[in-house]
Amino acid sequence: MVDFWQKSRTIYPSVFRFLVGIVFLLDLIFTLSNSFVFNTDFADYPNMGSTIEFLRENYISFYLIYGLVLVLFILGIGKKIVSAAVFIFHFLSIMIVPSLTNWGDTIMKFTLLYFIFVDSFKYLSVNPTHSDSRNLKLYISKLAVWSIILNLFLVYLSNSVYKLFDVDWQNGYATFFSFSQFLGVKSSFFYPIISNEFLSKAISYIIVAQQMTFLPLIIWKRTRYFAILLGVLIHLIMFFQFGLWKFETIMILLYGFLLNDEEWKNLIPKNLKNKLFQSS
Amino acid sequence: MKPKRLLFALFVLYWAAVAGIAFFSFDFRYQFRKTQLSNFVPFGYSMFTPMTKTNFDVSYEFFQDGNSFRTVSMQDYLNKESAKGITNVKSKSLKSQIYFEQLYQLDLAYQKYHYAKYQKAKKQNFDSIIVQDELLKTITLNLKNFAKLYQTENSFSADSVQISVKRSPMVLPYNPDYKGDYTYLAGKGIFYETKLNLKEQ
Repeated sequence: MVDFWQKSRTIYPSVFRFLVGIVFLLDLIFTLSNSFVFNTDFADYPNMGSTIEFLRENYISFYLIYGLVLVLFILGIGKKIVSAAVFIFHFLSIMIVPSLTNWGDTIMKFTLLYFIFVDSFKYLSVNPTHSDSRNLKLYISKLAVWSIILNLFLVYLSNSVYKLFDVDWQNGYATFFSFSQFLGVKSSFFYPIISNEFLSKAISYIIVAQQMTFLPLIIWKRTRYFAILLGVLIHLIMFFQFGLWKFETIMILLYGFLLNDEEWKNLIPKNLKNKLFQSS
Repeated sequence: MKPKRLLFALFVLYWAAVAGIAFFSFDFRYQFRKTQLSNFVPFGYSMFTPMTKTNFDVSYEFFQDGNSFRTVSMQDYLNKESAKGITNVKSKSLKSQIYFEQLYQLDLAYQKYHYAKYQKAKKQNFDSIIVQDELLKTITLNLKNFAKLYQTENSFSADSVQISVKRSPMVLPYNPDYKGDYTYLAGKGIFYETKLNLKEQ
């Protein structure tokens, strides 16, 4: 257990910054291309105060600046100031269009808050950092990465506790009801599966068990890859079935923090490792 | 105290507070959620799934000179948007989120209203409940906004549109007699109706 926390994690924060920046930028471009979202004739949102109303009126300028900040973030320019700006813009964008916010955005809000303190500029950055391992800033970065991991554990733990006390999860009915919330479920590949009592209940109990055991299975080295692969599989199913592409991508990207540098070095192909992840 | 120890102590305190709020604070968690501090301290993630045991559809009946000439189902519209292919995924998802996915909140309010009526506790009507709630008001405004968007996308003229929101409790295929939720008592049918004059828009 101590081993899980003590191993250094300096490679993945850079990969995460790069990938999450791209996910956010793509989402921003696709959202902006659907102008009805911001047209007051076609979409209403709850009143969130004068600042948010001002940003709603000037959404083009807001999102253009946000897009520029994301480009700087992806390139690793501006370091932690830009990381802080990404958090602020993400926070404001949640309030501008609250109907478009899902749990992925809430999880990311806290992740980005902690990520401000993470040194994610060692790799995949225009101007890489060269920090001393005894440096206090590096220690803060380590605590921030731990916070991102703890936040991910909190997601699973609090969900499993909720599910344990929920009557639909106890009866095994929740899988059918959860799938049935989405449009077009009857024509889905999963409909015959969730309509079968045994399979539907088995899936419900497997999901509760997966969420309850996520933390110990991740911390124990022998089951770590299994737990990650199972989690990725569940998120990929939801990605294709429910179309929650942003939420599922964010969850899969967060899993990367669960592996340490040694584990990442074993996974990254040698030529890519030599090119992009050589220790500075 | 050494800076690293101080930082570690603050880190432990912060996460002890998070765990305390998320797992041991009972109803305080919901009060904490309304405070500004909740933007910086996660209070747990009870992703209420399933959020509802009710299926919905919204019917839009367009009128010209007093005659109904077109009826559109929002479910059909969104399903057709999905069928348009990968380039339409985001557009469909945004329309679903703005116009459709919040309907469960309106239905929850309806179920509470229905329960109060059943218990003969309140004499308030459903429309006045909606007007007093910012979120419900927004949901009903967006139901009207969809009619305007549909009209613009399909370029036709209409005098008015009748909007009807239908509810239908989900039926478990392997246990069709399951009635373990108030939604089954509230029943199947139209639970919210409104009219929009499109000439004034």
